Amino acid sequence: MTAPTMTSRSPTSTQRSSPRSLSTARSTSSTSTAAAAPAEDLKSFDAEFVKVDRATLFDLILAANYLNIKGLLDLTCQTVADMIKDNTPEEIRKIFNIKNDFTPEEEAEVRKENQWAFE
Amino acid sequence: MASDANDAEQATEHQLASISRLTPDVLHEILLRLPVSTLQRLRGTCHQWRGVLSDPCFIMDHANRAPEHLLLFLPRLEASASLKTAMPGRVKLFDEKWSVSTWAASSMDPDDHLFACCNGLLCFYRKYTLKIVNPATGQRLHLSKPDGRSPRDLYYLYSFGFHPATGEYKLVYFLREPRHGRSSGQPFRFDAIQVHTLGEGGWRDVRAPRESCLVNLGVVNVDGAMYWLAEEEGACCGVAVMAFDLKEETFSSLRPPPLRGCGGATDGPCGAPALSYYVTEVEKKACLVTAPFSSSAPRWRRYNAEVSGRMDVWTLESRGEDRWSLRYSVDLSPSAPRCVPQPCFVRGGKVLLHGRDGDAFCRDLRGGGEDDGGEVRLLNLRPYRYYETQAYLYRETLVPLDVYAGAAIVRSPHWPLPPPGS
Repeated sequence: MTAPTMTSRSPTSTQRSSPRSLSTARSTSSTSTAAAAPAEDLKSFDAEFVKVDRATLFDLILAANYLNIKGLLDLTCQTVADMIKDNTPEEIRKIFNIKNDFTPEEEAEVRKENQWAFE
Repeated sequence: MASDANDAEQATEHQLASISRLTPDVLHEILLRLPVSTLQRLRGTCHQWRGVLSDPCFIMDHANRAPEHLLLFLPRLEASASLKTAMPGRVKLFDEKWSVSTWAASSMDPDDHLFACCNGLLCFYRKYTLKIVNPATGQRLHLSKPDGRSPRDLYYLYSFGFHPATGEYKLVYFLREPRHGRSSGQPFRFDAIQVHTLGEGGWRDVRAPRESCLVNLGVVNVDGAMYWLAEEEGACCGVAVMAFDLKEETFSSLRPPPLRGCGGATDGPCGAPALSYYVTEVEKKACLVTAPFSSSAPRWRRYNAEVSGRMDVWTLESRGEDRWSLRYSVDLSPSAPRCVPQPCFVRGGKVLLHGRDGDAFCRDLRGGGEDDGGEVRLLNLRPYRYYETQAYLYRETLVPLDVYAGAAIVRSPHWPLPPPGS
């Protein structure tokens, strides 16, 4: 596991994500010993928590992975999965800034793979 | 200059919002949460994603997380005096909440007979070939049957399984010894089986111990081995569980658990009530299910008779030590005998049962054993025959079949070709 790099970042986002993820970790771990909050409250808390820009979302994922915080990793990965789910590869490349590194021949090959046995 | 600084900052922001920052294990975690239909589309996103989606480890992780459905196969019905038109084979799917849907089943031809289901791959018996399909990806393979098999072979002599250590899939064919004058419904003997490893060569012979087998009652694949029932004289209650390891390709015979009403004596028949036995898979473990059978069932259906009374589900905890534990025990209503589809009829702590009038029920195996309570009616199967149904555990997976297309016994979908001039 590589540590998330926090260099050459705008000060606001660094300050935003680290304390945010740490305080969440504290609150989720303390619910196991104290009385648990109602499920709907936790669910809406979670939903609000991930309403951040993509850069911050990736910060959170990498932090959760590195710090081994399962609940946060589940939540953030599911959020990204939901963003991917109904989009085409082209839209996904735009949303997540992925470079299309396929040559036209390779793209044709991938399309053929997907139709392999629809005989 | 100010614009240069702005450009640099924009480029940084652009890079920060790029998913390529995520490490491969994290990308793996995200893609695991997507259904097969989405993942098929994502192959064309970039090289890295295509690599992850083709990785066998990712495919198995994804398969293990996929929700498990219970698939009920209704074999086709020929037209007859009571049935004006033939009914094609049909598949019903029960999801995790037991809501039922009829499968569009574009992977299935009317004459296909389902004989196995493993890791999202369905195996169909056809007139001239065996067909393996992954309905979620659409890929399919046609394979020729072992030499000399007549088109009027029996679907239940074929079986299919996976070994997690080797990652190999194998087809198994039980070579039936011809028995003249054998009355139907009786077990038959075999002294060899034929095995085909997907992707490699043809069918190989493997010698088997000479014991009668009851594979018509279902064969299950659990943890790299195939399990089925065998009749064994002298064994307690006359029954043993046979196991065939798919990696070592060896047979072993397992003593059944101490069954209720049995004094545990191993010499000769005990005074236990007449029991029906089933080998099945529950929660990824091989299980032996027993239930007293209703003696009013006709003799030719004795091995798939209706049962009532106490149903016990024994889990095989350790294959090497023949160790079983009683997982569930429930009282089925004595007034309404039930039938179970084979080989997999337990899912999520509930059992799928059929009634004589074609109703299908699910019944909770946990909790108190009330006589009539706990049965939830799901649907009616008529005109399909309730005692001919089969059920399997199914999940949608990305398991590929094109990687096995090089084997010698692979055939085209339209094999054999019609003779010229017809």
